[in-house]
Amino acid sequence: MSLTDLLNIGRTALNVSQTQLAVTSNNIANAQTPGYCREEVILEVSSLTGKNGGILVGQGVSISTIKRHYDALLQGQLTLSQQDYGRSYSLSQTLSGVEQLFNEAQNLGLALPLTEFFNAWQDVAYNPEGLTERNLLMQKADTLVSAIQRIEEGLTELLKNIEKGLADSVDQINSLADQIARVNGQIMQVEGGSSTLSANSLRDQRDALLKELSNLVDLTSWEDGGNGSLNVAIGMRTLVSGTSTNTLTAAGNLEGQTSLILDGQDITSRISKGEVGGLLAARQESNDTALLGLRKFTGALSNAVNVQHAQGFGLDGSTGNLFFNALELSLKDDSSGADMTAVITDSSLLTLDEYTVRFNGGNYFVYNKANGDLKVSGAYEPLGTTINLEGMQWVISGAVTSADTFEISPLTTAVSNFGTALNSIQQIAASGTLAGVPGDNSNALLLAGLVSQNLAPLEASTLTEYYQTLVAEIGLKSQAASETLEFSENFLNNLSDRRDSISGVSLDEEAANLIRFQQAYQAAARLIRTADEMFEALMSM
Amino acid sequence: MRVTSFLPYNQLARGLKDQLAELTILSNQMATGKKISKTSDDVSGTVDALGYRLSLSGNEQYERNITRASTVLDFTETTLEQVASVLDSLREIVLDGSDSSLSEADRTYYAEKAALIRDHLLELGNTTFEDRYIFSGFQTDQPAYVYDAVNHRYSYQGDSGQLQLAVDRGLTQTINFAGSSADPSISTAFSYTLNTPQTVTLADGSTVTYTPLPDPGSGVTFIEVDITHPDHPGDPEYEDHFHFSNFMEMTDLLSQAWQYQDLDGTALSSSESLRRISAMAVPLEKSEDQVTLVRAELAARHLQLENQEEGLQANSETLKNALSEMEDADMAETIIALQQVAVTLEALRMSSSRILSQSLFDFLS
Repeated sequence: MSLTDLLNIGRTALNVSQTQLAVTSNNIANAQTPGYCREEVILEVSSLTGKNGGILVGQGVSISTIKRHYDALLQGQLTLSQQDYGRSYSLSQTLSGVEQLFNEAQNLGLALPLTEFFNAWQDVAYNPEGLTERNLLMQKADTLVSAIQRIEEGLTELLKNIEKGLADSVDQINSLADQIARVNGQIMQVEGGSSTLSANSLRDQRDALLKELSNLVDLTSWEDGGNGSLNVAIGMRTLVSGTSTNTLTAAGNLEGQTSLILDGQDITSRISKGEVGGLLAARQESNDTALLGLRKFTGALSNAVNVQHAQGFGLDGSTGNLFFNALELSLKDDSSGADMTAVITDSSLLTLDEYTVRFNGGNYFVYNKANGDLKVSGAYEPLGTTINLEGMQWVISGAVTSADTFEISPLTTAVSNFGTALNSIQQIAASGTLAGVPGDNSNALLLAGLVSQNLAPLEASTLTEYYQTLVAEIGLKSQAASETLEFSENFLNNLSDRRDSISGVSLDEEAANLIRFQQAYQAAARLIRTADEMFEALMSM
Repeated sequence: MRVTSFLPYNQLARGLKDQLAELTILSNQMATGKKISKTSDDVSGTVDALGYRLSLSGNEQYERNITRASTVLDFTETTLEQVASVLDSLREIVLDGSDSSLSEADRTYYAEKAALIRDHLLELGNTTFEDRYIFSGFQTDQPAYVYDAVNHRYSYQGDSGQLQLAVDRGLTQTINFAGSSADPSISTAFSYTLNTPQTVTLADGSTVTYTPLPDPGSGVTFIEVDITHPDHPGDPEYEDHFHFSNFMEMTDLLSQAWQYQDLDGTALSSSESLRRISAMAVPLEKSEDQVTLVRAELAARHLQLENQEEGLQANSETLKNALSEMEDADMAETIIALQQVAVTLEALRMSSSRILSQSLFDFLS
């Protein structure tokens, strides 16, 4: 045991205190940094021992590790709940946009224009030859048309924004993937496979990136135990592996919708969480509920009015006129070499369903697109097969394979093509007979009565009932989405609080530590001074 | 639990966010007076309210229809009242004028009076309401009756059209009366309905048979009148045939008979003419009954409309109350809630400003 040992002990104490002060300073500095994990210096007794006449004396203090306060389980939960939050956030945002388009609470929907249109028919019924009433009817019809088209435009705009949101998210996901891969590389370099060395700040950075990525998309991640790098997969395809990444790409599919391709595979259907999952769900809801519902409502309205109107007679004696533009069939040809034509033969038989035609073993099969029910089937004749179904006639010719499909819909253009078709108000068919012109109002009465008539294409409900159901369905979905958002936000906040409780910096704690470590430093300095004084005493002997 | 610096800040931020959101909702309720600002606030409430509004709007239309129907029926009633009084005065002169001892001056007087009544009836038959001929059935742009100078007839230009208005869901009310019709089931205002032939004996022993002859071609029912005398069968002097289809033709027949001539101006003997006049007493009575009947039907329709309107108004009142219950914010409640939120917000701000401003660093020197 020599005096130098004393100086050495003092030096280790001084070093340790200095490091502690440095870590404390870093904690204070990063108190506001998102994702930062509080660090703490863990001390141990220095292993080197000196001998003092056969008695072992401690050789000072050394740093065992700088501990990062981190709970891996909690971090995993946070990642998951961030995905749920991301989904419910974008779903709720989009659905409340859809809801706003049908906002009956603020009289923005169709209820008012619809009843006014049918009330105008009652006014025509009161004065069938009155030009004022007829003009008013046309005006109300135009208002109804533009109200319906405004909603469809709103919905298409919303759907466009969803596609844009998806494209933006894809860019962000790729950028985050690149950053994670880069940080992976740095961590691998710093830690060098060591189990004790931990690149704390880089891991904090990577966790923050992962959290951001989780908000966007549902992912699975696991750490490579060998080198500390993090692998990330989306939809069972690898996004980040070590320092390499696969690029997520957005491609337009047949329906004109964005699908997501990763590592050569379409993973769209596998994504249900994160903002991307929310956008995909919102896209489906908007298409299947709101847009289809609106089109079916419009199709049923215009077809029912047309069928009844064509039976009446105008002031000019004309009959068979359509009040609104006739419904049109739209075809989606997904075949290699076959052709198809489709026309409406009897409007009154239309069920306003959408159909899919498939082929197999020399036969054709027509399915209801919405529920998959087989409607009709028969032998396919490549020279020309005529199918008569529910007021339509389809003719398909050419060679077909089992991969070929046709889709037929009377609804696709139901709203965009919706508009009044009469050339003049004279043609408004209020009269039930030619002889009854001009005072007969029987057809006008029947038309006015359509509003409370059960319509077969609307599952035998009335126009207003169907519309009410539609509004309720949209409202309920939006309500459910915003409730889920509230729940997942609370859950996420709760988890964040728990994470902060473990990993967060407490300034009071750090202030106390600051004094503690300062005092320890002063004590160590005092020790060195004592040793120095002892040296001096020795020298001056 | 270890409290870190972030925690109270985050909690404060969340608390402020929640309270401000609540404040926005409440002040929006104050501003609009409505509880519901979007469907998802209360889905069943919105849908119910939507249903109420649709029913209300329907009711308003029905009430408007009822008002119009009542106005048209009122107007028709006024016209028919005049028809009744005109027919009454006609019956009086027929009673007075079927006397064989009439002087030529008397006859001319009666003939002229009948002609005046005839023209008055024609005027009443061609009454318009809002530029529409109300007794023309569906042919509302045509006068109901015009004089056909060639055939000496008052021909009906209308049809049997029954103009109906919806007065409730699935319930309609007819608002017009056709002047004439070939269909005996339709109440006509200017011709009477005879379902089976009718025979009467006049004072001089002549037998008069009235036979209804519906003529779908012209859309009217003629009453064929045959006068014979059982003591003089086959004697042209005692036989007479003529027909009429509406009040104007009846009056015209009378007017001509007082001038001892037929409709086309051919001369009739005085006895023939007087028999004609006497034979018209029965149709006249029938006509008056017919008008009374139509007026009774009109009154019944009126009553029905009034009941319907009362029902609709009561229904609308209930709907309005339900709608208000569903949609309208309770102002007192909203204001109290608003104050509570304001107090909470204030407390949150004050307490947090005191707690968060302090840290151990403040006490180190």
